[in-house]
Amino acid sequence: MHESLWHEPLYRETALLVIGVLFVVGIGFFFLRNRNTHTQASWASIKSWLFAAPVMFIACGLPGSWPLVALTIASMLGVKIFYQMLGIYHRSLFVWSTYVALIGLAVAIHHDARDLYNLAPMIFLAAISLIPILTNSADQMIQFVCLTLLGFSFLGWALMHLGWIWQLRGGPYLVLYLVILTEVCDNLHLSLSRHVGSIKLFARISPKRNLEAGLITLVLTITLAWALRHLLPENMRGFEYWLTAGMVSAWGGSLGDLILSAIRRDLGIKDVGPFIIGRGDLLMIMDRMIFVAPIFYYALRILEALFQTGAVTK
Amino acid sequence: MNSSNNNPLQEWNYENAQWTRLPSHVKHLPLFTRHYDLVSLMFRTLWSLILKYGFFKFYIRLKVRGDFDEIYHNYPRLLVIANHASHLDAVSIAAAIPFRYWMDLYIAAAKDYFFSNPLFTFFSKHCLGAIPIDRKDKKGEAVELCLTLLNRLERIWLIIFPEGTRSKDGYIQQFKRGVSLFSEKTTTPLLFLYLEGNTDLWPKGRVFAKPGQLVLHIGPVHPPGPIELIYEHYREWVTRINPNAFKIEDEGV
Repeated sequence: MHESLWHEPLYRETALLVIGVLFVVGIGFFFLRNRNTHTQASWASIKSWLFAAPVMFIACGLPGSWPLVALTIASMLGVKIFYQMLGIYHRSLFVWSTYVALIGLAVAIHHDARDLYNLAPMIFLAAISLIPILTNSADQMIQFVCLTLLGFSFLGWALMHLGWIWQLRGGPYLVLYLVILTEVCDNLHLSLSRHVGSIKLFARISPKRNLEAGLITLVLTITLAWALRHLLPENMRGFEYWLTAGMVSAWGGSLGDLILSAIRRDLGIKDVGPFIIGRGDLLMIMDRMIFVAPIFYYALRILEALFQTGAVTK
Repeated sequence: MNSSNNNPLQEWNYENAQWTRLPSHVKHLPLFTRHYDLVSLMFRTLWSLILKYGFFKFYIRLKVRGDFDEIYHNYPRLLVIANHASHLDAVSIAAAIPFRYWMDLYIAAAKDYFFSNPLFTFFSKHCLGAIPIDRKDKKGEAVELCLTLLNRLERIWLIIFPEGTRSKDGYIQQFKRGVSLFSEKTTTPLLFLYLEGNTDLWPKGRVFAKPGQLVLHIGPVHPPGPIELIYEHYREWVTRINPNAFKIEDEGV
């Protein structure tokens, strides 16, 4: 049974630092918010994080397996928005099957059943393929089965690798480390793209971001990964770990952002409602972690195999 | 949606209008798609527990005279009308109705009060299933919203207060024509309810309700008709329960 992280000075310091920085930056943007659309967007983003960051720290600081429960709920809320976007949220059997499968993933993580976890997408596909038979209906079933599997794979299987990272030695700090790097990277990339660079590699998917700003962001994210390496467990403070974390947060995050942007553009929608008081919806806050979490988890395993530091052990 | 000879697969039809086209304050209403939202279900369950086993049991003793079950089975679509004198009215009617019918229960609620801030909006959407009625709306969008729901849904109980606003003196006021319009245009019958004691417990102007007893009388189901007729029959029925519910000089509409 894990104790609450609030007992640890490092956790309290990190929470205070992150919320403090958000608050100070927020004050600045509060006064600048009506200057132009960029400052409006920045203020909206900070507002959403002023709400999301304390919630995240409270959830991560819960004792025992409660952070895993919180991750499962976040995953369910992400699935809900994803299904609303794709217009299958009213197909109750598919939605409830996904929720049950997400709980199954959490149970697999809790019991360290990695093989079962990795088999889950196949088991899930088999289960939802039965729905047309159970309902004696074939209408749009290819569509529903495919979209449900997509939702489960992205917001269940992939995102819930955060649960596996959490289970590692110093896992909670690894998760916080990744979230901080990924979010700072996202906001930096967007902000810098307004001022520098012109090469838009994915102009039809993400026209607000460019290559030059992306490269500067990569360097800055790696620098931040180095600066925050005290959040990593002691045996993971070598350059290979923080360098990997920085690169995965920048590139993996961009990949998640691009893929979800492509889906939104194909659907012709921006978001399905404001996330509490900020911009976009909850999925926009989570989309980068969909790819960052599994890539970083497997990168850690590869590094462990290469360097034998004992990092990827409980 | 239509398949062609060159394309053996149907084009995918994303039925997402419910969540992508509607403004936030009406997204919970099944205007495009009928769905039961897990968040709504969770908060509504919690809210019903608080109301039924907390507030209306220990603080205000709610007594129900009549039976909703039989009416629910015989009338899947109803306009539930009642006298309106306090903020207790809508919640006490909801508390009196068995929870198993709650997902088909809607309340016409003033947009300027129930949707005035994010917290109230969340509560109104998820706990009350409120339909926002803009009292200053000249275009009739709120009317259209109610008509759409009444026409579209197979099961709907819409709580509406035909007086339009809370009574200042506790006497039942004249009915506005809206309720008759909804009823006639959608051929939806009306269920008469009468709340006895609401004015004493939480009159207009008081900050919060005081403890006491509230009685909800379940009346007859009335067919659609002109407002004068509805008012007259409602008045006859209520006067039998409480002869002082109406002002003496208040004759007809």
